[in-house]
Order: sequence, then C-alpha cells, then structure tokens
Amino acid sequence: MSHPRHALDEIIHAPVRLSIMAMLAAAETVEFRFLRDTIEVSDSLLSKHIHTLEKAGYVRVEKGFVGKRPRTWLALTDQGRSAFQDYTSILRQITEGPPRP
Amino acid sequence: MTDHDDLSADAALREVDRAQESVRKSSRRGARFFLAMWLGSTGYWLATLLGPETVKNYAGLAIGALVVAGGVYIVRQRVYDRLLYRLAFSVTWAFMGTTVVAAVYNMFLHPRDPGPLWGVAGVLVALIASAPLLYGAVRMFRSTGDR
Repeated sequence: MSHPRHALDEIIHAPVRLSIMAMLAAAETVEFRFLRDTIEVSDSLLSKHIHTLEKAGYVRVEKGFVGKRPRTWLALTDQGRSAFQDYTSILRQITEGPPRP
Repeated sequence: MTDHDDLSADAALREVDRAQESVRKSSRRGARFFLAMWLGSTGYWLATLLGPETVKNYAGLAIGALVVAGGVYIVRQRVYDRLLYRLAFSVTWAFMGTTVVAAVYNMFLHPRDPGPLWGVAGVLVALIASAPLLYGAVRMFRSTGDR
C-alpha cells in the first residue's frame, strides 16, 4: 500500500465532487446555481454530492435571500481546504513522481 | 482509489484546472468592475472640479447611475473570489475615505474659476479620490494572471 494513489481521499476523488471542491477551493463562496451551470449537473445530483461533502465536514452550506429570491451559498471549511490541498499534492506526486531529496 | 479508478490523476488535475478557470473568469469580471468604477469616478471628479456647469450636472447623474449599477452587479454576483472578497472591504473603505477628502476639498478649497495651478490640483485630487479603485483593479488583474 505504498503507492500514493492509495492515499487519495475517496470523498473528493469522484468526478462531480472533485469539480465542486476545485471551484470552492478557488473561491470564497459560490452560489449553488453557478456550480450547477458550470459542472452541468441536475439540482438533485448536485445536492446529493454537496450533502456527502457537508457530512464529511468539507463544505459549509448557507441559505439566504437576495431580495425575495432564495439563494444557497457554498464554501469550503478549513478542514475541506486542507483535505483538497492534500488531495492535489498526492495527484501531483502521482503524475510527477515523488519529490526529490 | 477503488470506486473511481476511471478518473486518472491526469484527468483529475485537468478537471481541477478547468473548474478553477471558471472561478478565475469571474474574478476577471471583478477586476473589470473595479476598472469601470475607477474610470467613472475619475471622470466624475474631473468634471466636477474642472468642467462647466452643465457637465457637472450630468456627471452627478452618471456617477449615481454607476453606483446603482455597481450595487446591482455586487448583488447579482454568483461567485466571490477569495481575493475579491478580501479586497472589496478594504477598497470600499479606502475609496470612501478618499471621496470624503475630495468632497471636502471641493467644498472648501477649490475656487469657482480655477487657474492653471488649481487645475493641476484638481487633476491630482481626482486621481487620489479614485486611486483605491485602480489599486483594486490592478491587484485583481495581477492575481488572475498569476494563477
């Protein structure tokens, strides 16, 4: 079990959840509809994956209103940000090889 | 890596880049927003301090429309870039400060018929009043170019 791929976070390493995490890592907050339109998934599928990430403690969900319209905002938690950094550094180890001493 | 062996490390990194590029695009819009506000604000102060009376009246209307458009833009924003989020507060406060300074200068110091030297002072005040917006735009453009 020494290959770095075994250390990849299973929660992040799924196509839709990876896209969600990548976008949230680059932003402070992202609105639900922006994620849905960019990742090109249905509301229900996106909600399902967000729920998984929220349960893992990676994503924080905030609901609010803009005027009378309800809006859902998403952000990474500190735990999520650190998990995503670890995940991308493992990906780089796989593609570029281990760091040289 | 048991459930998703089909997602290779290369493909995962490419998806990270693609997803983050969409956020960067939004940041560039934020930079352009700061730039538009900077141009509008500089134009407003130049017109107010150095322009004829009719231009001053139109400048007041134009800056009002620009502020409303800025408010609508911020409310409708669907992604808040991390840097934009942090910059928005400091730039707004600094801009309010420089605007107050320019308004005080306009009310108490600037003569009705400015000579050439007062003209230079007017240009300087217009540039100082809008400087925080230019700073915000440059920081945002640099950040989206670096990443």
